[in-house]
Amino acid sequence: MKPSKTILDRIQEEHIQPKPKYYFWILHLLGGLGIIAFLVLGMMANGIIFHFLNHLEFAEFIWQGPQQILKFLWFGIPFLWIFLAAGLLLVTARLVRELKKGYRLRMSFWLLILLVPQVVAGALLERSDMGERLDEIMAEKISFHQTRKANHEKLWSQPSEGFLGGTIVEIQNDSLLLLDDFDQKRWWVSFSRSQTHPRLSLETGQRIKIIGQKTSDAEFVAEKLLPWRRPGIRKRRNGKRRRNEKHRPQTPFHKQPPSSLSVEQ
Amino acid sequence: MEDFSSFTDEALAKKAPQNMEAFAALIQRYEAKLMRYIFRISSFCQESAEEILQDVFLKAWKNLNGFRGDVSFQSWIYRITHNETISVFRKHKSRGMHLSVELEESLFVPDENSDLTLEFDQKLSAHHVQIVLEDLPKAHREILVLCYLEDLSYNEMADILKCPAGTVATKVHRAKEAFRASASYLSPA
Repeated sequence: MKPSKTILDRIQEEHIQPKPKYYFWILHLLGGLGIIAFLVLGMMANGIIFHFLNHLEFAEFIWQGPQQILKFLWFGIPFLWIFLAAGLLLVTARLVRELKKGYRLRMSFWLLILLVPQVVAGALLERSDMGERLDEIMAEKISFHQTRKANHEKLWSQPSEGFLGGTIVEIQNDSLLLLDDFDQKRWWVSFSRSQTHPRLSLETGQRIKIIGQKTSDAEFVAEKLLPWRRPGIRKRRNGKRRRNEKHRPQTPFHKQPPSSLSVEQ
Repeated sequence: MEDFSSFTDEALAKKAPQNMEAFAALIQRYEAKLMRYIFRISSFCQESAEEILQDVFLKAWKNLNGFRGDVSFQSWIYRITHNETISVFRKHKSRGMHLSVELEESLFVPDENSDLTLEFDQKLSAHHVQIVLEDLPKAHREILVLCYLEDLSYNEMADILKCPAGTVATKVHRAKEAFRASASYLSPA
């Protein structure tokens, strides 16, 4: 018997029907939604990577010798997030290649085409402070992210090597502050000769990074004071606005007298 | 029976979900071609090849509404055949089955327009082409069969193998190199 006859007989006997059109529409719709979902997740992962990289202070570690550089790479670079972003990029590219004539272009082309918006979106997320927000959400939800944050803290828990991080407990005066490090150990930090990062305004309860020298078991002389997190554009603008409001003169031309004088009058 | 001779494959494929006769016309157009293709890339016996062909047409029937016409019907049905043959081949391999049989030499007589042997300035018999092809790795064999025995364009091959036309060109080049090396080794000096 000819194969054609057998096939047609089988179709009729078994009442095999073509799959309906909507089945394929749904399939394509799911494919499209999958691409969008993976693209968005990739952008978020990139936002977190940018957030981490933005706060690493690589320039400070690179001058500290190979051991510190290795520590920096091991504890500082968010490898897991980078692998996750790369995985999401690969999955997205695979899905795009399955769409219509996506296979007509090389995988490397699709990877590049999809990488650009992911990286740009990641940078924009970080600049708009969404990177920080995502970082906070992930820290609550994902255990490996907490480990990553702890690793970052480890980089700034090396007072003997000149790196100290923690929370300001009290600002004694213009040159001395009390700081609790990440092991809840208290430090007297002298910062009379230190450079303070332009975007850092010292406040109690604030987390900071300090580069300097340990002078005793509980004393540290700061050479540089840095914010724990660099604010994104939105925060910077808000901060500027707040600062401007704070320092807005009450009377025109800054002619208000010092408080001590005004009391006397 | 309606006369579909003036219909293109694509027009028949659009008509086929509602008209069984249109699908029968498509089967008639492609069954011999696809059977030959299955033999050429797999060396399966007649029975296995017929089973594969049946499954190919059944899959095509079920998925007719998914044929969007963005590739030619020929490329679409060849892709299904290619995937089905590879899938059966893998199943047999994983079960340790070996279904290779002696194939007719006529299957390896190249198309008039694209003679594989002329590519290498060597006149090889169909028998020789068969031996050399069977000796090649499956990937090289598939690409040479599509290019020289099935006489398909690079774009059609790209649609069947789901890869860029540039990649097809590279694969053809590599397969030709492998064929040349194998032919010179196997052919008498």
